[in-house]
Amino acid sequence: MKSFKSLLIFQFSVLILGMFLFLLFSTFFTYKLASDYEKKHVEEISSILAENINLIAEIYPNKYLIEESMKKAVDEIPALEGSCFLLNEKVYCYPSNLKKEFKCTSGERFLQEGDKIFISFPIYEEYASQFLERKEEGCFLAVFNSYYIDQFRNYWFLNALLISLSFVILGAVVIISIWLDIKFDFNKLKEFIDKLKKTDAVLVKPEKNDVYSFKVKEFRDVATLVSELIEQISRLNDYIKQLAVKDPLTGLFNRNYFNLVIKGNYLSLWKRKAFPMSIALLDIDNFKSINDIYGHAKGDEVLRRFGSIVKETLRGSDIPIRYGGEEILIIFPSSKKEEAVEAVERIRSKLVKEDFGIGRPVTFSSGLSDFPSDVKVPGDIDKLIELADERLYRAKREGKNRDVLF
Amino acid sequence: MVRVAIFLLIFLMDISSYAAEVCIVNSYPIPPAKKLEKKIRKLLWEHHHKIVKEDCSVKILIGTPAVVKELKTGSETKNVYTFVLFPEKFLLQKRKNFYGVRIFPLPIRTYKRFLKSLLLEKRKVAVPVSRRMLSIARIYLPPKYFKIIPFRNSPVETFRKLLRYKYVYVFPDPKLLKLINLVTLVNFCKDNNLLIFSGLPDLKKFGLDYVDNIDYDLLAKEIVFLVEQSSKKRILPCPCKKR
Repeated sequence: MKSFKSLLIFQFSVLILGMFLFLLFSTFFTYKLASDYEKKHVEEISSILAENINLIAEIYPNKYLIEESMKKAVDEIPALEGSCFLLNEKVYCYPSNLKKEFKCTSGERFLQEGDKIFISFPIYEEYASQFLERKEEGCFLAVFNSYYIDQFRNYWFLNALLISLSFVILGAVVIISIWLDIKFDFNKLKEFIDKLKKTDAVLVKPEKNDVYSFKVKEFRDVATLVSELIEQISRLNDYIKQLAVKDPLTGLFNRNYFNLVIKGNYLSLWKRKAFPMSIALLDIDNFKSINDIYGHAKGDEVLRRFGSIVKETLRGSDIPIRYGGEEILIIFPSSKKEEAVEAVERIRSKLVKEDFGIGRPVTFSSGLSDFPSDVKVPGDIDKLIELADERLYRAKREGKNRDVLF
Repeated sequence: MVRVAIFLLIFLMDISSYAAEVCIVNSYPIPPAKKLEKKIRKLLWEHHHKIVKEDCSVKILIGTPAVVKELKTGSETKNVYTFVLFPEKFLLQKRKNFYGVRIFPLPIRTYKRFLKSLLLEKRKVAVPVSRRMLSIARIYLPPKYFKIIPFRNSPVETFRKLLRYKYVYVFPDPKLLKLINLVTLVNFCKDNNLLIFSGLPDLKKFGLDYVDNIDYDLLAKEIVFLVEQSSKKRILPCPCKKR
């Protein structure tokens, strides 16, 4: 598999080769085109000249007039060195020394000898009707200086080369700048992913600046997607954690929390510090009859509200746990049961005021125990719970809706 | 048996349908000649003649150079020609294997159509002709209708004499038909209210008062007719479109 860098180097080499070939081809093509144009150009000039002189000769075949026209053409056209004209076996030349070199050739002819270009072609009789067969009545020769022709060709060639080169350079600059942008973003994306790989991507969320520093939209989209995925994973992670230690119905901690945190970390702290601690076990009175008569939805509603009242009534340091079906265990650190019962009573008074639409208030019974009055050794939470449970049953037996502390 | 007979009949008809093997030699690379050649080819195909390049029973010669070349060979093949301005110059009317259609109408015919077309009265027509063409011109221009006015270098030499006439005919004389000469002559006629006419259709663009218009479809038909049959007349008149 190719790396991005090697791919860029390969493509750059291909581009350079392509541009070189393009320049070579365009140079050759332009040179050929310029030569063809120039050839056509001088041929057309010669043709116009021949027609002009032929017309003069037709109207007034005077030697001086014809030669004067030829001289004028030489003066006006810098590349033209001279011309010769044969009509009805009479030869007219300017300059006159051309007479020695002049001979008629059949068909149009382009000939270059040294620095001179000879263009000769036959002159036909010009008839008003095309029904008459045209006959050759003479010929014309134009002599051009190739220096001017070459100069024009080179000028054209240089111009074309310059334009091609500027296009090639412009194209190269554009392509290279695009490549560089892509390379920059690609490297940035790589760094971004490497950074996420090194850190705990689930805990460390990517910074917004990292995403917005991309130049190419597609790369920014990829980075944004990665960033969003990580955020989503992080949120899901939090949710999973909550699901593990919290009861979804009441919003209170569950038995997992009790087993993992309270029994795991909290008890060792309690044992070491031996601070007073009380617990209360709360159980909703006649909860089964609510479920049976009003359905489980009503029962869930009562439990949900009961949980939220417990949460909002307690101090931040108190730990409410859904211990059983409708049983809530509350741990009051650094509190005696006489202090804890006040909190339980506050919960009771709030719950009684709630109207659940069942025609009677919902009440609960509770049993409380604490260290050091009920158990002598800190850390024996099972014993505290056992005592609280016994007292809770006593409270139920004694008529419900009450707290039993002893 | 009947089916076999019918099949043989069809086969024989197909073979016999190639009435002649015809060669076409076109020595005039001008649009009208090309147009005519195309029409002739189409007609020959419709008449089931086979067009070949060599070993033909009839040759169609388009243009004077093709006729001259054929005359040089001295072959006995039947030749049908057109686009020859002056067939009498080559004594083609006397050659047994040469049949042709004129490419420009005889001046007398043009003259009559000219009078009829412009509703003019009969008058003698002046015809400027170069000295080189005098002998040929005399064949085509009967003195009853035409007065030949010769010139040596330029038709300008005839202008003084032309003023005595009302009509001027442009004879297909190469010297007269040189662009400059014709334009000069037309200008002179226009300036002096002389009516100028010709049998050559493409002179219309120079502002002549009347020109004959060749009917190329009919010309092609006559050529094919001459290919298929022999005519008492060795040279058929040029077919013209009716106005």
